[in-house]
Amino acid sequence: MVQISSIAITENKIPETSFTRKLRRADSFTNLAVTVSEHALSDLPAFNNKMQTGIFIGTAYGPLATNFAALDTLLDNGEGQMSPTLFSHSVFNTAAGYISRLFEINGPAYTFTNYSWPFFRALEEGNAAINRNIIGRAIIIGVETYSQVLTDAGHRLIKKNFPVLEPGAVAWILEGEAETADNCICLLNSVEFEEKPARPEDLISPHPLVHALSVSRTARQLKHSGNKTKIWSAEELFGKARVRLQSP
Amino acid sequence: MGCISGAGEDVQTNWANLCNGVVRCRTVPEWLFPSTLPYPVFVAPAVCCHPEQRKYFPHLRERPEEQINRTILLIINAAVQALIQAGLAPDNLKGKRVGMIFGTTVGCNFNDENYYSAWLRGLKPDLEPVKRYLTGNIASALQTFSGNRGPTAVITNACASGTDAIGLARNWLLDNRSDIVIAGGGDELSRIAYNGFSSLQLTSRKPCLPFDRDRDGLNLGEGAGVLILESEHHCHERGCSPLGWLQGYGAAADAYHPTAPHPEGRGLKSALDMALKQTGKKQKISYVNGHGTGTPSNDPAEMNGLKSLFADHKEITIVSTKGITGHTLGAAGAIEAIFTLLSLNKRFTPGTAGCRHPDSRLALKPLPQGESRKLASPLGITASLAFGGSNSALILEGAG
Amino acid sequence: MDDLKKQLKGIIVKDLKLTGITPEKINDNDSLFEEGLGLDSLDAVELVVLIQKNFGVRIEDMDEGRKAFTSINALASFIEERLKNN
Repeated sequence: MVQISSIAITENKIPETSFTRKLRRADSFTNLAVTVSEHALSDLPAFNNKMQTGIFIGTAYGPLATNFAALDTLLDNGEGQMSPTLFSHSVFNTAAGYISRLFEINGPAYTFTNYSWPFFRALEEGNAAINRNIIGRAIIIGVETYSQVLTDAGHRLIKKNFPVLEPGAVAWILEGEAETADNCICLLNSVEFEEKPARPEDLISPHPLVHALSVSRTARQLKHSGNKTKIWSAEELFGKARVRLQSP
Repeated sequence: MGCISGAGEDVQTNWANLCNGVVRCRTVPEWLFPSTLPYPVFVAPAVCCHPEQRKYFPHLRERPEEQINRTILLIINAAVQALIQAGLAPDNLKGKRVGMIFGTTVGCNFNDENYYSAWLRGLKPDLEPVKRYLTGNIASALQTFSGNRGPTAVITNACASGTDAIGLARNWLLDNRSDIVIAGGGDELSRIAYNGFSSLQLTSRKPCLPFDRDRDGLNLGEGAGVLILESEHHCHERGCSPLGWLQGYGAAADAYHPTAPHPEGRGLKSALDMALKQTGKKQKISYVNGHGTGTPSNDPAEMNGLKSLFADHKEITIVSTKGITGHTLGAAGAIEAIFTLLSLNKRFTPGTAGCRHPDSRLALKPLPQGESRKLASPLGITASLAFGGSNSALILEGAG
Repeated sequence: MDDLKKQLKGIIVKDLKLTGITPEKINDNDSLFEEGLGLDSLDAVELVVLIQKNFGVRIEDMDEGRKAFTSINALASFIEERLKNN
């Protein structure tokens, strides 16, 4: 069984990082993904075989604000003069590229994009990759930075009770059980989720990090709760998700 | 398998144009978006929804182009070709766990410039583009339109997305998470990506010249490629004979630079290593469909990565097919997997369109334009390199 | 010429988001890439767009760019010559 060795959560701010110069071009999406990974990894002993670590990012909106910033340079400067830096950073796997580079991780790196359960897709694939012995350690990241364009559209689509969209990120480090047993937060028994056809207004609210944050807190608390197992679950108009956790 | 690209509306046409070296590279047509830039592109045929497609996707609207973007239309087109060839009628999918996994780059972004410009001016534009964006996740949308059940995923690993989608589909089947997986990739030409690639100075003013000494950039293209994957057990059970087997899949990161590949093809070598380990038949590989974009930096990096594994391998033929499709981004890996399987099944490959004077500085020699070769075995590789340093490779075996 | 060089240094530090250096600290003959300011290929293509946006001078390709981008001095001369010829 796969163990959760570390969990880091970032809400409503972009914390300090030790990679200032190397992140000079990075947008807030990449910054958040890198710093939350740095925090999650900092609790653990270094992992020697870098090929044995995989990166799995789940996001609903990706670097949406940078997509618009790149478009701004095209609209302002004219054809052929879009900022190449902004364009390249609007590509969804930019954050995964930075993480692999800054932490010298050479294993597989994936970015999954969907509106319903992005973090859970990344979690399931990371979990499966360890169970199949493709990798020994996985960094699972949920990250969102949104954009004012999206917030305004959300208010118009939903009229009332549209949630405040605050940037945030979650990172879990999963390991094959034998790797570093003393760092175990809890064991990941299973990840299940399903998607149902949904209307746009059902997909935009609640915002996709809510469930990633909630399951992270549940996992952290399990060790101290005295319970042997805990089933975290959520149901939304776009489907439901269930994660079964087990005490070490 | 099914595909659509600048080289044609279906697999047969794509293959015929590949064999005949037909290069349909052109200026950006007005109906796609206006442009005065000098970089030609490969444009896929116009796609609409015909009745056959509606049988598989009954929940599509009467005028689907109002509901979904062009990328999804391209993928639906390729998916239905693939389902028909696989002998899977809509009823055969009922009650099965039908996985849907696609790679894309442009297809997941909000790129409605009219909405955005109006929003910038403080207006309240009609919300239709936002709704289209929120219901535009390719895999979720296809699952909704089909009414089937099963896992869905969209992979946004830049230009390796299509390859990764097919590779992960294999894992879904091996893990028994799906009975059938509809896997591939798609991307439409967009003004944003077109301008982005030209600002990065990666695009050529002429039809691209992969592996050629005079190569000076890539041509963007668009299209979709889809494969139907199922476990051997499932395939036998319904009495179908497969087109081939996906024998291995590997993915690895360069950990090097945001847009440039590692010069020695470090990540590509690791990805190939991982894929080859699953088959153990390295010496039997006869064909490599390279990423071969025709940019100055991609081609040598890729050949270096291949050389580190195949230096003493005389029987191997390396080609790029981007000279007839352009670089279709998220679709590239899927379309090239289809070309790979076709070549392996026919035990034959035409040379690399655009490669008239193979660059002698490359670590391995590609098969140039005008030549063709018989393949010694039914085993081949398709490889992709992407922004962000993603690399991935599939090992395919043709059933002959 | 000195104003142009000052402006160029400002653009490089601000728009290429260099950290740990101020425009005043850049020497006119410093190499912009590798061991000098440490810019890379992505900065180079960004600089092409920035030069066009700020001065209306177009750098056609990287062969031209490589020569223009050797130092602040070289870049300033390149821009000045282009503006004169137009």
